[in-house]
Amino acid sequence: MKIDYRDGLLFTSITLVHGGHRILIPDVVLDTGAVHSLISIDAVDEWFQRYEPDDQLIFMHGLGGSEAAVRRRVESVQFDTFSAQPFDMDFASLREHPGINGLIGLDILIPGQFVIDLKHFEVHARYRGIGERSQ
Amino acid sequence: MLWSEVRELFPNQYVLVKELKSHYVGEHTLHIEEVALVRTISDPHQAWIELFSAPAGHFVYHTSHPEIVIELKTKPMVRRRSIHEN
Repeated sequence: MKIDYRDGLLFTSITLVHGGHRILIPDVVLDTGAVHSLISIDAVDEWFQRYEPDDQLIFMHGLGGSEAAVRRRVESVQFDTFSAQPFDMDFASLREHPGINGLIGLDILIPGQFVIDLKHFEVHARYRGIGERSQ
Repeated sequence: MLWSEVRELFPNQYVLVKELKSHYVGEHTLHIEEVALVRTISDPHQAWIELFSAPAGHFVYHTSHPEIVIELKTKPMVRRRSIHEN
């Protein structure tokens, strides 16, 4: 799928299925420096309005101190050819990063075997075409 | 107050608490033993809002959990090009 190269970052979109709703989240950044994918609570505000007893609390440390995040099991996550059911997704406030609805991290990029093509600004699963690696 | 005492007094509900005593379990997990109760929160929607607006050292947790176990991670660092940059 195409990547939108904007503001120096690689933007794409991801789909969550939760509570029977199919939620397309645009403006998420491909981030090979992130262990876990993360979605902004504001991007899912319409569907995520309650603290669930099974939510796993996370403290995120960094500049500006510590902030809460929540790891919640969603029914499925879909990104290009990658799909996982269920999936433990992190949710946090990303108000410090306006215009960014989340990060797609290595917990999706590695199992999906994604190749990020920075010449054509595309992301796709596995090697293909010229330069394909022999097995 | 020990977490076990909070659970006894306020079973099966959300509480806004302040962390008082904790220890690390490995590098990435915090086990909180003692807290100061700020207030109970009966509405899960209000609990969700307060979780993300709690002041430093405070958090919202559900007393159905026998222990307070919290994963630690680093904040995301997105270094976007400034709008003033070429």
